[in-house]
Amino acid sequence: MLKIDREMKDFMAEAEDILMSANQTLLLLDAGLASGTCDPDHVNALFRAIHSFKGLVGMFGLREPSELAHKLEFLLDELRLGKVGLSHDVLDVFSETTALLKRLLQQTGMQEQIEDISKVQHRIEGILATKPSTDVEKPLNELISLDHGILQVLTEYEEHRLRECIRQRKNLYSIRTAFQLADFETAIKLLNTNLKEHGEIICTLPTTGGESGTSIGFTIIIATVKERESVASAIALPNATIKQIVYGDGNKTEQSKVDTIALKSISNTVRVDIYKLDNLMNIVGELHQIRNILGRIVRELRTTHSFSNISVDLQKAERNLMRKVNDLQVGILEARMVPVGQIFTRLSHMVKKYAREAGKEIDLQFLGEETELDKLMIEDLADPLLHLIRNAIDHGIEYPSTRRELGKSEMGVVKLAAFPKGNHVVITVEDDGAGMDAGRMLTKAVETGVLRPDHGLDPYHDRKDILDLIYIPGFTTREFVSEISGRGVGMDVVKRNVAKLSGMVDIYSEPGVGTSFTLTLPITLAIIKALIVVSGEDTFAIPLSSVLEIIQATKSQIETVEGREVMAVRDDTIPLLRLARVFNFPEDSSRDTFNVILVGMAERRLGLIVDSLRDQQEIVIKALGKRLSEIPGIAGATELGDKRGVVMVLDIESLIEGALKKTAASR
Amino acid sequence: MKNVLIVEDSKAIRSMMRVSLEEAGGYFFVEASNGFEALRSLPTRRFDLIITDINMPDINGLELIGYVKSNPTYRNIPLIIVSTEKSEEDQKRGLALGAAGYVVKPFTQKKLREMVANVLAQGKSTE
Repeated sequence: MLKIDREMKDFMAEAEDILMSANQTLLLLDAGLASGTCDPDHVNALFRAIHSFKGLVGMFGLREPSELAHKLEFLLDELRLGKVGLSHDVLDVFSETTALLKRLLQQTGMQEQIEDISKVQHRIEGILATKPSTDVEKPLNELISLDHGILQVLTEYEEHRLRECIRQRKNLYSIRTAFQLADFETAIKLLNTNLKEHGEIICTLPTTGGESGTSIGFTIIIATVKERESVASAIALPNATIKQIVYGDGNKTEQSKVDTIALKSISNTVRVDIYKLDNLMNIVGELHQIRNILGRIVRELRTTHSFSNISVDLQKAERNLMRKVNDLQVGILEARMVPVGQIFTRLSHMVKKYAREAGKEIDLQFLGEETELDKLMIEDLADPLLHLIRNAIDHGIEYPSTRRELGKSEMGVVKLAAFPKGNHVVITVEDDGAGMDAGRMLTKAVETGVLRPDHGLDPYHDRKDILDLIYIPGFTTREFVSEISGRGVGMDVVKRNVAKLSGMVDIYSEPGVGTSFTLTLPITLAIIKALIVVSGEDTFAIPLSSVLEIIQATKSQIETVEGREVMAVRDDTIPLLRLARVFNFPEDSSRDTFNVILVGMAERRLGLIVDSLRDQQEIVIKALGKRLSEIPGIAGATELGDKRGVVMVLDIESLIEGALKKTAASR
Repeated sequence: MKNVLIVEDSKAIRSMMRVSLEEAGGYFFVEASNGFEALRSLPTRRFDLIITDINMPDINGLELIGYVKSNPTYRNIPLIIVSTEKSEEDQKRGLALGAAGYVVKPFTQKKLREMVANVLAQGKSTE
């Protein structure tokens, strides 16, 4: 047994990573070739990958991969220096070689027989043999007027790219700027990203001379077909200068001018601490309360002073105030919104790691990244989403060989999608893997004692409830617990985290086809409209976004089915829940009519029976302290600003869960 | 204690280099995985040696050498280039810019140790 020590493991992981990114670049080159283009950045990226790979395997003494990578690197260098052209043949050889390199790595790791590399080596040599001879080139300083110091530090490749751009008579500009040492990295990367949209960056040079000890200067050479204004607009820095590089033959009519970019910064964004926005939102909540009081005064005034000027004026002012406070609220809410894509991209890095650990091939897709969600909620979503994806990779997607046998593509698809739906945002995590078999889960549940043998559940009709078993801590249908599935966050924590965001998780799954988890979340938790209700002696607030209808029901409309109270609402049978019973209040059994508040989220419905309805208000939900935060049915508390003081906000989601649960866990 | 800055984008190779030099003893290492990180690390302590790869994304090794040699604070720090046999031209440019020496990948641990010892000894005699 070969002792795999830490260094070997790291090395193998790094080498595989490089090959994986090389493959992705090959796909890009292939796509480019199909549309007749060859992006030099891609070629360079591929070159760099194989160059790194070669260095790596060489240092760890793997002879065959090193030789093969060496040959391939040579070919890639000729390609990026323009001495060989890109064609389907050439791409084919690249694919074949990277695939062989991957196999060689695996064979080394498993101490298997190393494959013969001579055939592929000959193919590469064949392509190299056909390259045309090159002309002698004029020295660069005769072609353009560029500082000798800069020409000296260009690598052969950068020089080649520069010559290529000169050949195409592109505009060449030299941009000089300086940044603070503390944060130059993000600044220069941002600048480069912006500039890349306008042209090709030849090189980025750090410079000294003229700057203080706390700053660092950069000179960027860019080649572009666009005019100076376009390039200047991408820079957006107050102290940058841009200078045109003149061609030696003087054919370029533009004289070299030194231009200082306007002092006004073009960037329109400001960085704000989300907690400052939270504070502002609290103030808006209080403004709502004050407005409510004002509203009451207006109404009272109307009854005593009806049409007098003062009462009319006050009413107008109150209406105006209401509009403005609402506008302010919308404005602050918008400021808190960020696109979901922020966490999506963060996740893709982890996904590569999980896929590698699990030995599976994963194609991670994103949809709707621009969908926006409250910044604070997004941060809390990262963990549950990561776990769901990990679950999909570990339990869902089959091994490549199994997938091949099943006629599926070897790469498993994991899709992350987000889209707005009314007052909510829906995020789905889908995979095209093995799906969850309700029948098997049922058997396992009985075996492990999670369900009693007389559970009375049918694998077809009760599929949804059975799939929900996955949330019970420790439940698994894997025959053996892998290193990945056994540890860490369980599905129950996923559910709890989503519930904390006032969201719900739904599972849909089809054996052999795949599984999807659907998270439905409110857009923001900051401020919401709520229905104020009374049950017994207590007042509660119900988020209006969950309220579908308010129904007045009579005693006769309430039926009891299998020990539960239900009611027919048009064609549906809705389960009922008496709020008094939930919180153990004494009930008034003499009532004939009831207020039923029909609430629901996603596809689930529940009728909440309360004593009376009060009014509607905008409220800011505050979290309860740690010790109180786990009470089922309560999402938080809010202040109503009048004598009712602090009231509890109901957690509709957990009430629905509790009421609809058919499976009784024996734990 | 000699402070050594290693600039190399492969984590495994950086590890290897550390291991080779740690055996000789008396070195303190700072690792940078690209030119930007190297630029950030330079002001953090007085370095006695910089070992840098040539072929790196964003800022390549030559540009880093150019910057170090043109900066009065750092210009006396000796540099060793790590390169591959193909990039002879880049090696030449590196030496022309003032690098003290180079090692070619794949290099043995012994080779690296010798080169480092040589370069540091040279530095001593010019002070």
